[in-house]
Amino acid sequence: FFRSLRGSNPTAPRSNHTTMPPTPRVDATDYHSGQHSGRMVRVTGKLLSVEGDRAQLEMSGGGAPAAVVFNDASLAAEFDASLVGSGHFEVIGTLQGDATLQAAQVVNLGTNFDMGMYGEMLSVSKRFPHMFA
Amino acid sequence: GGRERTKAAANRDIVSSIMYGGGAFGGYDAGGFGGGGQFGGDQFGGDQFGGGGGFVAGGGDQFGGQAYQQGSQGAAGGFNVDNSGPDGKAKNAKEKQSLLPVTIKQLKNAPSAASGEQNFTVDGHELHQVTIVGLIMTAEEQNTNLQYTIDDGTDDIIVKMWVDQESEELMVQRRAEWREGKVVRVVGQLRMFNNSRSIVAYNIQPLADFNEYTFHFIEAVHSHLRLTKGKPPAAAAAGGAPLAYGGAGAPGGAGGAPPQPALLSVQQQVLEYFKQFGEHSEAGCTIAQCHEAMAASGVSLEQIRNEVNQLVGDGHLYSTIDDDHYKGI
Repeated sequence: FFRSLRGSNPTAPRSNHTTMPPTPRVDATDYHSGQHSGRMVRVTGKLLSVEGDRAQLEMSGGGAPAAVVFNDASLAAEFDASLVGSGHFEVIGTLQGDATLQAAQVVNLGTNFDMGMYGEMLSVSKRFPHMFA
Repeated sequence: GGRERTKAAANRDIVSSIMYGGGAFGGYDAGGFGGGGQFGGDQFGGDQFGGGGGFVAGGGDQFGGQAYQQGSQGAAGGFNVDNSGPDGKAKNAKEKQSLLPVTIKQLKNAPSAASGEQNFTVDGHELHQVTIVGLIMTAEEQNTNLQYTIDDGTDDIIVKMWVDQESEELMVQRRAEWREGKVVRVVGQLRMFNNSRSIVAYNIQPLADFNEYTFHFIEAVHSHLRLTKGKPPAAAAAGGAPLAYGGAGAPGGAGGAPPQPALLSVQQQVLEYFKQFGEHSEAGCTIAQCHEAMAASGVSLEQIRNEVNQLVGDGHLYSTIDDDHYKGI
């Protein structure tokens, strides 16, 4: 089971109000722009490489890949080496100043995920801020 | 048709054909795109995700068939996609059957309808059933209901599903499927208790094909555009009254929804014009051409120039051969 993002006390009564700010979806341009530094974001991409506690994801919009870092073995386990080049993931994490993404949660999006459509969805969504983050 | 379209062009066509009633500026088919890989409602949950095709668009309510076939766990029942009338407003009886794809942010910001406290509106349309797709962040089991917090990247919301009648076997299955870290589609109704909003779910279904995750957001945008399209510019101007520019959010405010769905903002229309028609030449289009195209909306040349300057400042347009010619980024 994934660690709850609700903080260190999962048994505390949960407020009905939003306790965590929304995690916006970012493409390569947003990711490397520095404007989200220190914040939680959502990155979706194709798995390019896995090495120890790090993985690289190719994001939509070209550009340098996202360098994902996970401290948690259960997260690392998702990034199986056999999925390099074919697997896709959505990673929610904190974007560090050095452009690494500290992963907090991972979703395995499978091997038939359409990154082209995803990229277009992302750019369309930016034109409707009242609907998206 | 035999034309090759990139997906980017197809998406822009969806936006413009909905905004301008299809073909108002000439040059684009109002009909569907054909080709392989249409998003049929029954293509999710299987592996029939056809590559490279366009989206079924056209009249605005033909988004891939009438029913969501929900995976292999047995039918959750068919859900009708909202069949609005030609003026963008749903007919009364059909409204009750409507299922609106939305983002959680839209639900959190939906104003209350005039008709009652437990009724809300999105884009002037009273909500009945809504569907969201998001990630389960927390999962809790209480005596008579299962409770989840679901986050779709735009916001998060509590989702409750009543289960007092469920068999133990079904409960075991649910606990396995509806866990933290799972992406699910929820169908239900928006409710408010003690000033906090939640969804009471009729159905929760884990996704089998994660392209449905992407698709849901495209569909939510499509739905928003369809509901806010309003009358074609010519007919609206004939009425003589100034047009309402909604676009950015709540229709009408606390007094209840206005009788007409709001148009897209002037800026959005200007942007769409340049993005769509600026493509045809190196120099793009001129402010004068945009003004002429939007003449029926009564917007002045100066206002269009102001919008263009803002759009340039925000990085959406750039000037080409001179201060009059622009193209979309």
